[in-house]
Amino acid sequence: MVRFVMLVDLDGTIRAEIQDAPGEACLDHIDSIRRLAPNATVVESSVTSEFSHTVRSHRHATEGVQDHDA
Amino acid sequence: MSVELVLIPIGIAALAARRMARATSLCERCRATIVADPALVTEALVVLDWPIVEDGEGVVRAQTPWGSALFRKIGDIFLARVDGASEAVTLEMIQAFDAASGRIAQLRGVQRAREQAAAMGLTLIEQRDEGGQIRLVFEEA
Repeated sequence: MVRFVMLVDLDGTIRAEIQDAPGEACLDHIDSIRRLAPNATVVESSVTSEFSHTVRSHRHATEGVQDHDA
Repeated sequence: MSVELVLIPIGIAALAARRMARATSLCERCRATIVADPALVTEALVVLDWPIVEDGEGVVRAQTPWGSALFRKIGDIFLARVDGASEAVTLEMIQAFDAASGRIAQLRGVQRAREQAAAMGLTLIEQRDEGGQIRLVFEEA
């Protein structure tokens, strides 16, 4: 069962993690994180080693500023 | 654990804007706050109970415990200073201001996440304060 873990810092910064969605399936849930944080901008995204192991690749991407409206 | 995202609420300036603001000379003796949104400036001042004496376009003046303070938007971020005060006093004022602004953004983020989760059919299975940081865990039904 997919879990969304959000850590909301004292300055409002949100660190969100998608858990229990191994492999490329987790990418399908990125939009859910954005919907959970409307009026927030994604400034960084990264794929963890668990995902990398599953798909035999590793990447770390910093996205450009992307405003998202719910 | 598979994908991690970092999001900054609209109204709070991105780190890059904060770094750039430190180098500007457009607001004499000013230092960077974390705030980008004029509405959040006034909201934080109200929460702090610092009377607003001027609220213009990109410029807000308030009476703070350290003296009269100016908040001026330069680019994507508000800079601030305590008029006629040392840098240390300005930084002390900004620290209190940033803390209030950040707390507003934090609580708003938590509230929105909970509302959105309910609308999306997600279940909140955990919410706890971890030294000021709020942890939320949602699960698909």
